[in-house]
Amino acid sequence: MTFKKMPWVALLAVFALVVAACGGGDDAADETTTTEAEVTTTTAAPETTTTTEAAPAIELLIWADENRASAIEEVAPAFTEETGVVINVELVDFGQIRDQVGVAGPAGEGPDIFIGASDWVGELATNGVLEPIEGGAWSAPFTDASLNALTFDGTLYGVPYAVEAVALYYNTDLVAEAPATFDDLIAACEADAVEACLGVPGAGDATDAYHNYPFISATGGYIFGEADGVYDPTDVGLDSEGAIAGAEFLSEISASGVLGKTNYDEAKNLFLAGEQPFWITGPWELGGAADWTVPWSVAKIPTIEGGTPQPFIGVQAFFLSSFSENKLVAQSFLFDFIASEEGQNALFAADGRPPVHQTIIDNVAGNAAISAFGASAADGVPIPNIPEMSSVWGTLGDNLQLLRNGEIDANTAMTTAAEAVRAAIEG
Amino acid sequence: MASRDAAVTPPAITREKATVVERRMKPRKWMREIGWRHVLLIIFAFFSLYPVIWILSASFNSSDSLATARLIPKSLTTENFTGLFDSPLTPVGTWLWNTWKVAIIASVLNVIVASLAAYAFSRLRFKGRRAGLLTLLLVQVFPQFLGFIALFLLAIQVGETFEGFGVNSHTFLIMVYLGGAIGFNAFLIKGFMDTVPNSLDESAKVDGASPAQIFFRIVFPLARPVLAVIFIITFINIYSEFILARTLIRATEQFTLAVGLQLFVESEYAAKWGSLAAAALIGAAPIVLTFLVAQKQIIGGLTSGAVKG
Amino acid sequence: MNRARSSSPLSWGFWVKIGVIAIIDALIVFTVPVLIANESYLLLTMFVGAALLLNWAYLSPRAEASKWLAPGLIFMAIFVVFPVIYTGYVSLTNWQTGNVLAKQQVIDQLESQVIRAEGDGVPLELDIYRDPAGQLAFLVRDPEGNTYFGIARDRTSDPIDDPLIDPGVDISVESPDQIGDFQILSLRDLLAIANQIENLVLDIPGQGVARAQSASTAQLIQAGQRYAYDPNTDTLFDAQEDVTCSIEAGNFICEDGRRLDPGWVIVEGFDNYAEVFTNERIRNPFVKVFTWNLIFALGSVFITFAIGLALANALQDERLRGRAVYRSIYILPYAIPAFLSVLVWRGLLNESYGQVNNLLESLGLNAIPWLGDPFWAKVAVLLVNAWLGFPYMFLITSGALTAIPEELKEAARVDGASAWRVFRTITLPLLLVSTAPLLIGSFAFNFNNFVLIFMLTNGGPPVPSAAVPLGETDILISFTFDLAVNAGRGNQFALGSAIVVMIFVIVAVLSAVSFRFTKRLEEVYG
Repeated sequence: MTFKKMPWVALLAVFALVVAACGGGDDAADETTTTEAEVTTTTAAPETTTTTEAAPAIELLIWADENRASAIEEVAPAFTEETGVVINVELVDFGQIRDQVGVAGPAGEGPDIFIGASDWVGELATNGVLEPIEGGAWSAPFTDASLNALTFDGTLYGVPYAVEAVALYYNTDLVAEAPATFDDLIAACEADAVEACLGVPGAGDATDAYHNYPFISATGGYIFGEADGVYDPTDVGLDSEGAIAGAEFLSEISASGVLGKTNYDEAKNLFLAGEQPFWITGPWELGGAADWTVPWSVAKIPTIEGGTPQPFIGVQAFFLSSFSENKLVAQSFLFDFIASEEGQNALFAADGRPPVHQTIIDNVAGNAAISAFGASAADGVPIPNIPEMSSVWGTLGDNLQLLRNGEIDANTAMTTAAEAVRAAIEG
Repeated sequence: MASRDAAVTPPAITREKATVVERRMKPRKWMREIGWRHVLLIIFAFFSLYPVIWILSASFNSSDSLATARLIPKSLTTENFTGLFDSPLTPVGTWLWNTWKVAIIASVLNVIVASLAAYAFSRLRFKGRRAGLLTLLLVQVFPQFLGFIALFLLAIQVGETFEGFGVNSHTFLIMVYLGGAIGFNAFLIKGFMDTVPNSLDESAKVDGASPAQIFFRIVFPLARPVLAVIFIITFINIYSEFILARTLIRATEQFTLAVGLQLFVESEYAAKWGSLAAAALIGAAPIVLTFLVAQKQIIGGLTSGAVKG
Repeated sequence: MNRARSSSPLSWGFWVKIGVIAIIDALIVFTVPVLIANESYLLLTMFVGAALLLNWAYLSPRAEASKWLAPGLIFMAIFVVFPVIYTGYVSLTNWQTGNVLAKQQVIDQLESQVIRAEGDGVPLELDIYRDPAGQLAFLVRDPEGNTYFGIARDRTSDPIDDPLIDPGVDISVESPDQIGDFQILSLRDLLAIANQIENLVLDIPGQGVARAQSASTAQLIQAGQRYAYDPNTDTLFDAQEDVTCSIEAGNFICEDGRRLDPGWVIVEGFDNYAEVFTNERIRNPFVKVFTWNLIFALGSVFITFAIGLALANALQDERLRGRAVYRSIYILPYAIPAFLSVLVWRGLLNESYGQVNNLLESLGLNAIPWLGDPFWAKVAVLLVNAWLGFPYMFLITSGALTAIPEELKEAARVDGASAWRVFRTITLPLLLVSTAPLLIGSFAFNFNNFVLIFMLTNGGPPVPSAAVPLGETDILISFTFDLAVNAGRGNQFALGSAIVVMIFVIVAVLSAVSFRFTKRLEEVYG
């Protein structure tokens, strides 16, 4: 290893030159293609009247999860046919969409349009990832509740297509008719002398604030104060009188055995085994209902001490990225196709969640279960879509779990939760 | 058994023992020397298989709830398996191919690059060796998946300059996996190389062999059993890695299996257990089968590594 | 790799080496201008650094060790060290909900906003026309049926004096295909020039301007951009409220007290680290969480190693039948993606319907609240992690055991040592020497085994009356990351990064200490 370095260097230089000469051609070619692309995207000139045939197709990138992707692919060909715009759908896990648009969008790799839920709006809009959308003729057929849920700070973001809220499934063999009040529900269980009565996720080994919120809201509890759709994060209502009364009620029916200490699967199992006449959960279970062996129906959650339970409403929607380079095209797709009756129909057919477009709602009026979930949603309140909501889920769920498991009382649960939320928001 | 290319072929030493066939032994002696092993092995085989049996059961179950599953489903169905290959949205076959491609290339390269580094640490004496070793280990303590945003941004930059090598490209993913385990694997291989007696390469050195010759003719063949094990471990780790893969790969047809499987757990409440279980089994089967079939080679490699000191 | 290549100057191996390096150099030389043009300075640094290292390692006669290390070092630097550094960088910023963009992106977004006045945002129907000269015209119809037709202009140019044209036909209900020289654009033609139309407006005297939104809708707005950024003073002027907004920690704060979202990412220094130390919500539960974290990580390593070694050792005897089957069975837990098997375990361990409790009950034992009880939840976490981790240890110890020279054991056996004694005094120490780094690595991995905790218990069961969301099985990374990700206002990604860096330091120190210990071990036995 002691020979001189010089020949190596000379050799290196020669090789480098050779390879350089070969590589040059490719590089030049690359440059031409990029400039061409720039020309077509930036000018699309009025001087050239017949550019449309030659110009490369505009493409829209949509992020959706598996269910929704199939619906989009159903609507997309018509749009491509009419406009020449190519729709590319990428499958992204639903939970991932929220995190990834915030990274991919600003870095120039994000979608033009993506699927999401109404409670993301505050965070994404604050991050500057969402483009505001104007209501107009397209939005007239949609329910006010669905549009309100997508409104943050007075601005609308997104085109809705479905609404979700929990309701009461009941076993029609064990219960003749849907109970109107909780007393009726308890009476029905006593009459049947069944072992379990009502199954709601969020006890045993599981945390679940979402499913238990109707109990808190029925007696006047709330999470954040709200006026005209604008939330006040300094007004935390988790330890308000109404919220504690609701927790008290939860605690009572847990202690008396009416409400089982169930997690999601336990509540579901007992209901499907016919051992538990009542079960509170959402419309996503309807997809598998055809295989159920118990006869069932759905109704609104019965009133609690005279108060109407207000379940959380989540609205599923299409959002427009503020980093889209084809916003006009994207909005044309959203307004003229996704928001259209055909588009909404295809989405309902593929996804099965209760619709928010008036015509589709009327069309499915014969479907008792969908109507019942729609009615439950009509009583509900939107999941607060402000970013501060992030501090609520964990601590509220934990405390309600402990409450239902009988480890703490209602007052402790709700004041602990409220204090934790306030402390988090103050930072 | 004997490795053809090894300059020094270690004699197989345990062959004659194997001629004592298990069943010919006296019961008490059998129990003392063999039986207890079976007891232990069976207990852990049960432990190992227990959840797998349930996954198997779920994969043949027509209902999509894991919770309501019985060990022997009420209605057996193969729909979960056939359904996987029907849907254009979930091209499981393509995912499997992608996974094998990425995992094999990355782990082969990983083992080669890591053993080169390990050789330097084991056999050469140079400045900063100890510090380098420690750094290797400490840097690897940082979980690579926590740096996914950095890797994602890097992929975007790469893609801007080298079209097709950034986000969505298997090349980039392979390089990420390649880099991800080198330090640790090098450390491990180094540990094993240390147990290979130095006397062999010392004598080769006296005969005028260069470090490269020593590496390729002596150390690498001798370290082969360990390299095989590390290859398998790296391979399987990559096979089931999903946090980085799902950040770096977007297009469905580019997915690896673990990323694709996530699609079946669509939401917190509505997972497609049957399809998920079926796909996981289809993914696991080749690994287990390979291991079952190629065991002779792997274990053969293992025993040939035992050398006289 | 069948034949070794000599590095002597005249062998063809030498030429191959030179060739490969030359090609790599040439490629890198080529990409440099492209990288500079793309402003990818990060990549540029990486490429040039890698090239320099490669050339030095393979051309300098003094760099013997680097020849072996260079490829590994390059990949490690880019794919392991860089993410660490980047995480360190993020931890010094204010990256959080509301501050994820770059400053220029924020300014662009704010400057694209337009002045809003009462009666604004009236939705209009829109049709777009083009004349043979390529001029574009808008036909807009408001909800009251008023119609306007006129030449559209770029929104950044000055208003046209007399933009509206009398169409000469009735356009109040339907839009004709042809108005004068202007031909209506089909959706296809229109979207082909969408990027141009986006920037067009039609002046409607006395009302504002109509701006296209989609192919068929427009919106009535006041002409004029709402925010204007002044690079000289680094301030933003809000024309609607007539106030100036100045910069404060990555956001524009206006004179009237409004904080404008979005904000951007700035480097703040060590604020996040100070936050970790001073924030009582993080500090108070620290000891409790850290203790369990240590038990969990050490316990997992010990249990998996013990099982793996026991099985590998039991399989050592060549007289044993069914070894291939056993080995394949032990590989199974490893071959199934962990997130799936953890979810399955969750179901199996359920207190009321879980199969594990069914099994216990059929054996006459009591059901165990696996995931609901503070003690049993910890046992469950260790149990599942044992299942997930033992195949790895089994493979490693199998390899290590066969690498131990049989003669050493033989010699001891000849001396009359019992099998156990041979194992304890010869096999185990040698095994520890070769697997020590592995055990340290396994410890480090389990210390941050977020995926397992998150999917199995999500930290639960919750600790009663905790001031923060805290669970009995929370480890540092799950507890603190939960605080940072589910913070008071969205997430605090930078704080999370600071936590990750600090945990990294903790684990690194623990690993370095054990590393020193294994060095001693090596000196004794190695």
